[in-house]
Amino acid sequence: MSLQPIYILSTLLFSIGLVIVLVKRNAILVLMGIELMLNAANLNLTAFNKTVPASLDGQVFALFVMVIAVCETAVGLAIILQVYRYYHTSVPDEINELKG
Amino acid sequence: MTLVAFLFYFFIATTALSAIALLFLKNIFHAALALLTCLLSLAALFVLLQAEFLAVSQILLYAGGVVILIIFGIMLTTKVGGQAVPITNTGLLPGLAVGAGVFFLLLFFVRKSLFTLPSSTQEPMVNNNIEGIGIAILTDYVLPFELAGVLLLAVLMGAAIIAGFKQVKN
Repeated sequence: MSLQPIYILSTLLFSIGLVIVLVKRNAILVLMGIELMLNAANLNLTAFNKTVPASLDGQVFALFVMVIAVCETAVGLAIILQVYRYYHTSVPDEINELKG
Repeated sequence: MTLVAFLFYFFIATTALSAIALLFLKNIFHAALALLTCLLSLAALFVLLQAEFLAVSQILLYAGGVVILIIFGIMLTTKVGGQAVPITNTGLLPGLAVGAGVFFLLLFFVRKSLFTLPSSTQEPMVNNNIEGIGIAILTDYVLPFELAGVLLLAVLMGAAIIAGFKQVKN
């Protein structure tokens, strides 16, 4: 089983995540794009690990990436909720004042 | 084509299609469901790549944790006057151009096989993937493991404090 399709899929996932982060006008969807990019990296780490069966470094690394991603989502959503409560919008472009 | 090869390409196709759907869906709840499909197909690919523990963690952490959190976030933020707000885009064409540029640049390097590692013929140290990961985490990676625990505690308290309701004093 060749691993080339996995690399191409991971490239595609990373690009789609990047486009979502760049163009979408909704903070929650931007978080989803970041999740997609992190998952692309995880997929690549696991695929590289398969070429070196004697070690599990890639899988352990992917596990830590997953933990950090969950932390980032939890804090990000808490901030989005608080911003929504204050500005009554979750569109990042409309939040343009710095004064408290 | 063997069954394993069929499943391999099938889950690659579902992952790619749900990611593309995530890019074009207008309803944010449907987008969350597309993300869920994408993450579960990735879990299936992890099983096919012989990373069973990673697959279970993917289902528990992403499908059970992140997507539920995101759906709660959608429930609490995206409605104005009971009306769902459709997702709009800014600068779709430049964004797509940047994405396509990154995609074809990375694809160029993948096609040139710059990242082909020397395939080792060693046997796996332990046949049980979960046993191997447990030993690796508690020996070689014990410091990052403990730090992840501290980080999780900090995130738990931070998220609760940031998102918690505050009594407004006048």
